[in-house]
Amino acid sequence: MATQKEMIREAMQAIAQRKPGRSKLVYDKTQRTIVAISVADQVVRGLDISAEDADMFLPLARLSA
Amino acid sequence: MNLLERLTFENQILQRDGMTQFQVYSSQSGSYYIWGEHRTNAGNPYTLWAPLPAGFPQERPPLYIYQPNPLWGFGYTRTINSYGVSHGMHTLDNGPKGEVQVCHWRSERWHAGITLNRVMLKAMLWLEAYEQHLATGTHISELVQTMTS
Repeated sequence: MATQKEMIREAMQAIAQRKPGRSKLVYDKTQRTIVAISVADQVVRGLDISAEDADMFLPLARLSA
Repeated sequence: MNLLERLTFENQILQRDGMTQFQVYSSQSGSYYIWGEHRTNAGNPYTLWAPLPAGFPQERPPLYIYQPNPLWGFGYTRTINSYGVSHGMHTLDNGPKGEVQVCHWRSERWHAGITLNRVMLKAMLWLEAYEQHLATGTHISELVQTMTS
């Protein structure tokens, strides 16, 4: 089982490897939750939080590693 | 458009956007609030509560995590409630029962054109970031800033 330090390191590495514009978060109506989708494969049609709505949160790439 | 018409419109938007877990309700005292249980991508349930102030929609409504309360932070050594107003956690003053208040919009940028579906969307994003915090210990603001790149 990974230690907390290892988990943090892995999460940070995953964040560092993210590239802008590759994916984004949308609200999936069918699942009624937030999901990350690839920009190149936008199957889910929902609210785009990278629009000017993103005030405190600013444009996001994605949350989950 | 009067307040009742506006709130009816808000419910219609929530319905249209598939956010049927949330709805505007009226209390016996004549005030209004938005309430609902949301499940994060990981499937964990959170009850959200946003009492609408008398000045709504010109005034920004507070948004609370009604349940769980308290809301534990990374490592279960400290609650998110204990942060109070925190840029790092994107939180404001706790609610009447100590609930965590999510900072969903800057007061100076709030205006009557902002609809509640957008507020609830930010709450859902905050919850996803919160669960990342639980897993890694990273402050929510750090996650959010990193995610802008």
